[in-house]
Amino acid sequence: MEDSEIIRLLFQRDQQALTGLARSYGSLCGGLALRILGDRRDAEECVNDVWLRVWNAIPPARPERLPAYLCRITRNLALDRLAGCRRQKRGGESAFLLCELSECLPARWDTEELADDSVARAIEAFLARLDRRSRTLFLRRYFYAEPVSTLAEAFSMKASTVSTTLNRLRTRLRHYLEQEGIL
Amino acid sequence: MTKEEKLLRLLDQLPEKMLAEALEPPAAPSRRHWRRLAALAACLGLAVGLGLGAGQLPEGSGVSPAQTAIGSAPVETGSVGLLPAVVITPAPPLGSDTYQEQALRFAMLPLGGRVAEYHQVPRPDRILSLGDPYEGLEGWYRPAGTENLQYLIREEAEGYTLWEFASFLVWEAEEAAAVRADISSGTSLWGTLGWFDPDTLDFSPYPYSLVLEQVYGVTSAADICSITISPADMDNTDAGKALQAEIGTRVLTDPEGMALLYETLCSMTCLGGDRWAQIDRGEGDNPDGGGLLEAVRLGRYLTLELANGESITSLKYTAAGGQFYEYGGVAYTPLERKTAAQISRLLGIF
Repeated sequence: MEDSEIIRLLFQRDQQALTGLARSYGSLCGGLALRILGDRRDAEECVNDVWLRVWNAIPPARPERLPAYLCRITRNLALDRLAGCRRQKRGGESAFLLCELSECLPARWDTEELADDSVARAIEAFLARLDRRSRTLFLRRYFYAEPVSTLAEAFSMKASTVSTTLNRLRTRLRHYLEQEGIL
Repeated sequence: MTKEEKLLRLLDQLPEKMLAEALEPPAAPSRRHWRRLAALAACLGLAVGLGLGAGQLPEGSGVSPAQTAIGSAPVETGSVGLLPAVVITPAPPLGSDTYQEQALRFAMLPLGGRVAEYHQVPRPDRILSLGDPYEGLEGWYRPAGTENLQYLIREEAEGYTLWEFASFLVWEAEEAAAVRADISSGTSLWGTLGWFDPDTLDFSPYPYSLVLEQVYGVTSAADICSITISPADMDNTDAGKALQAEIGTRVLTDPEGMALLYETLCSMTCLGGDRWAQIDRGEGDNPDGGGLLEAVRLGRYLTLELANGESITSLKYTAAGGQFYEYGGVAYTPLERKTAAQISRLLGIF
């Protein structure tokens, strides 16, 4: 089902839209949730929450890029769920992602400052200045939570090269944030 | 919520367009990376005719027709490493899948039957004197008082800029053939350059002795005064910094060491740039899991002070692969086992 058709059905409050969403994007959203949560049952529940969130959001929302829109919601809900259960377990890629991202954060970076939109804008500006290949690699790792082995295959690179490249990108991000006076 | 979790959350605020783009299949590996870069350089007039190079003039030398403050190009270089290579020009932007890590701007120049890549020096804090025009190249000059090719000066509309040699272009036969085909079909900007002839230019891997001689004017071990050996810095975690501090920096002036290094450098072959896959720095398959610390332990960065007053700052060595490499993934052939062991000892890697 085309994205436009799914959105049209959502605006008509037709539940066929949910069937279309599940068929077209169940794998994409489910994969992302599973990578973050590391638990298949949690991931399935998360994706069901995604469909519900979408049902409630559209209308009035009319996303231009439905897959990215869905992934953003999926990621949000998965991270919420992860935060809720992290005392008990933490699986998937999330533990690695957090460990890697810690390199971008010096100890003196106050947690409250992180909420500042300016940090998000600076990250966006940093990514916008990267070449597309590097930006895609960064986002597929830190937004879409893809494992290094998957990225290596997708980018035709050795896993060690992917890790090294990501490490350089994190270093550059940190330098950029320092340069922008954010760190 | 931890700081790392908040940072992870902040990525949710990225624009949908950017997120959607990342869902598309990644751009092909930059196999034609240099072709694109060089073609653009050509398009921008940064690549010009065959000639000799230039070197740095000692400060205060006043023998030139004009004493020129280098670095007056209107380029804000605060974001070196992040900006596209030719962002300041009015030319079309670089292709989205090109990659430029160190240099803000680059130029491809014919040199000794090969194509040499020069990078603009971002912040040349020097006063240089213009020497002779770089033979056959409009707008390019050698700094006065030097014979080597490490630096060139380019006259641009906004001022003078300083350029430093990076490496020679290395193409595989397949790549050169593709360029020839593109030129034949009129789709390559290389074809617009009068000097560029893929049938006569040499794109094969080259001996580093060629660089030492032609670019730096180094023809014997006596031309190297000292070697400053610094720790590799790819791991800047607390543990990595502690290891770097433990390794420390030292200066080598021992003539025997200088001779060993010179002979070794002359023996190795450069495989070209963007060859990270051929550089084994020892980080293994999991550099973020402690492998980078091992890479620091096995790596050293070199600065060679030369008798002519210049210095070579680009060489790096890793005992993991027993090989030298440079910024931009410029890879050299691994050394013979015995030689690698000697170099490792010389550089204090045990």
